[in-house]
Amino acid sequence: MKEKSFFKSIKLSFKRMYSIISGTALDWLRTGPAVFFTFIYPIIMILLFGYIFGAAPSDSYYSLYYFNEDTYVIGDQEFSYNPTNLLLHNLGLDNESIRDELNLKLVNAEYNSSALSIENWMKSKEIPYMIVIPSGWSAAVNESKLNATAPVANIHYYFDPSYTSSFEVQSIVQNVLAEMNLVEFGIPTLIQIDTITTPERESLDYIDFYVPGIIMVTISTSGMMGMVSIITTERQSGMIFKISSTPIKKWEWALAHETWQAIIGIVVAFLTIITGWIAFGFNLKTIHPLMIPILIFGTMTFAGMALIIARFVKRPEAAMAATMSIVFPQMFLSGALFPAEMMPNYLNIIAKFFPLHYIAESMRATMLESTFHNVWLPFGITIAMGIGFFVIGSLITVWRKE
Amino acid sequence: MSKDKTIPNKIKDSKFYLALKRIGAYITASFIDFKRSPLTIFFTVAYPVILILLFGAIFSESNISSATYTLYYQSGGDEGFYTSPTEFLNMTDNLINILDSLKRNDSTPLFNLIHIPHQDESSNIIDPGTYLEEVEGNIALIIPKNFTQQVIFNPPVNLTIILDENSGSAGIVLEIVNSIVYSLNYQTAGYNETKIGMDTTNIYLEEGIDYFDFLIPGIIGIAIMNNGIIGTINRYTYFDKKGFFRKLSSSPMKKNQVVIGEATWVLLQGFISIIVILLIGYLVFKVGKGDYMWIINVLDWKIIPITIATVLTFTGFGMIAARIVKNPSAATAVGNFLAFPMMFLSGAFFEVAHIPALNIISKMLPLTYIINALRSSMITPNIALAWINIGISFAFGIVIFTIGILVTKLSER
Repeated sequence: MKEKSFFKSIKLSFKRMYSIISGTALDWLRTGPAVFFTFIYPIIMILLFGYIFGAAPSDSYYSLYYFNEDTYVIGDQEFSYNPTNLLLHNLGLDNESIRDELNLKLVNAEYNSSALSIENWMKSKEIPYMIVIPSGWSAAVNESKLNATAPVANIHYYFDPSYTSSFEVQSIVQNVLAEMNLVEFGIPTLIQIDTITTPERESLDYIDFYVPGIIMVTISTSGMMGMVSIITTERQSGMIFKISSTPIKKWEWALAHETWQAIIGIVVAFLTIITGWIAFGFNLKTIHPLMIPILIFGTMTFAGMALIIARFVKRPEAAMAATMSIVFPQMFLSGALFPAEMMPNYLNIIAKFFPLHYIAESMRATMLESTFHNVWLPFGITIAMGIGFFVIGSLITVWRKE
Repeated sequence: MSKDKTIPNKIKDSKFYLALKRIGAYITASFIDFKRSPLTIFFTVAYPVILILLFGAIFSESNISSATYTLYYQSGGDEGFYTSPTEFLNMTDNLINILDSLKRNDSTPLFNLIHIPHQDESSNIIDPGTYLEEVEGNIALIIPKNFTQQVIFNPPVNLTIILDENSGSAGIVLEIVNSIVYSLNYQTAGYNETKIGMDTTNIYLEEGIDYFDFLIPGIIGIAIMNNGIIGTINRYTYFDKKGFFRKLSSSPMKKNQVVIGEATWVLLQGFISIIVILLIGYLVFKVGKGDYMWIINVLDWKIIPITIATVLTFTGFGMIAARIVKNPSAATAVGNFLAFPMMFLSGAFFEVAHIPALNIISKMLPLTYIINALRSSMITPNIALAWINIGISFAFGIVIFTIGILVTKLSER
């Protein structure tokens, strides 16, 4: 008899949860733009980050301006001395294969040295970087071949520090010059570098590492912000108070909302993967079944966090600010968007306080066989967080009118 | 006759006065509402603080340059070679010592060198590539057996670099190792210095501006944008649910007065954000070389029209979005949809000019011009560029805000 009533109560619980989920789904589906914007957001995110960080080299060139003063004129035509010609050639001028290899597009600077200083001219034209080959540079290089004590023949590199790529371009030019040193002075190459890619990652592209991160960022952002706004608005409108007078239990209500978020999360993940595959050739082989529980427990974590925030912050506006205060640092520090290895050590320590760090770690670790053994610790933490935040969120949620 | 003239003027004045009073009432109500919620105050002020602390910590040059790169290495063993009866050369040790001795400006080591053993505990041979993947490393240097003797008797010798091509830091380490190898080649050939070189000039050196200074206007633009878009959407959908707009429609308050009141309130919050960001930039990140005059210098009067244009644009976006969606969770999705791409494509953190498709999109976004206007007014300063960008920002602002007013309807709500 007792057993029967137990199963009956479970059945009723499921029925109640189903009614909340179907109610939320209906409300969502009846708002046409809600469906559109919920799904367009992950697509935009993957396209955005795919293009920013994984754009094919053939699509992107750094425009390096050059001003060549080391020239002579015959008739109407201007010619460069050697090795200035060689330098420009090595930087990819009129040579597409070198240009593609260096990702550099040389642009002749139409600069009039009598009108403005180079710095001011660059500022006025918003030019990020420019090399200046001074008059007599070729002669200076040739002189140093004959005279060991001759001064170093320098070209000048001007850069705008607001452009993050200015250091990358500087490094490209420096390497071209280093190579020229070896060639021009007949220095034998005794040591050289042979680069190979890590074996399993050889077949993977930048986008393959981005897709799991983007999925989790999207779910954490829209999941937390969406759930916080639903709860605070339902509380303000008195809906939650009304629900408290029904047989629905708090944990059923919380679990129903989390299940809804998990459903949305799985659809978002599917859309992100499909977009990544169509637009950037995302490697579908990296998908592992373990990603589904990670996704579910990850969603539970964020939904649980949303319940906690909504408990303490009553006003929708303040709740949104509180959510963003967590979502933002989490998004940038978790290593999902910017590689954690590029950040200072103390930021990597701070990142470990955010759940997204472990969820993104476990997602990434499932991608390769060689890193799969690393998945269990972050996966365990993800499960623990999912359950922990759900329990805490459900326990502290208050339904009474305040 | 004179009486006829004064009456219409009085009415006109009185209407204008009443309109101002109503707008003032809306702002006062917003302020009281704001003041009575300590958490709202905290997060309105805390949010820009978090933004600057976060992006400052990630992108400030001092932090970028304080990163220590982990470099795995494996050597096949090197017996070295006596180049003269008294001079012993071991190039493997030399190379490792060079890598180990490289320091940053703050004397912290540039590399954390980790040795890859040849065999594991069960005496199985370790493949360095697989090992690197297992430890989730990004780059390993493999030095061949008897490197010194090979360089002397059998050049050229290959140093093998195994790297994760998708890792940014691996690329940086490769560049550094490359330049060390170049200098080893020069030294072995008897050259103490390279003969062809390059000197570098920061075009903003005279103004003492570095990368972090350029981040400040970007963070200001983003803070005001987020407050404008997400804040307005949330307030409007909340007011809608509470029936606040319907109540307002039965009062003498007109739609444009509500909208102007809302925009003025966002503008005031924007000014608070600017002050907070500048103070944190100065106090925490020592922007302007720690000179307090920096704050005075960057507070150019042109910030006022730029902030107005920013508020018009993003409050307008918020109003349009709030009109399209009424569901709070959908409102959040719309806010994210509008704000996120702009944040990354506007050049606030990094430029996208070298990616043609993104460059075109970037030029269509109002935040790009707002950040350019803020940078040219506050940091560089470039007056001509500032005014061009202010003009474009205002054009965006007026058009979007007007659409926002037109689509906002109090009565239907």
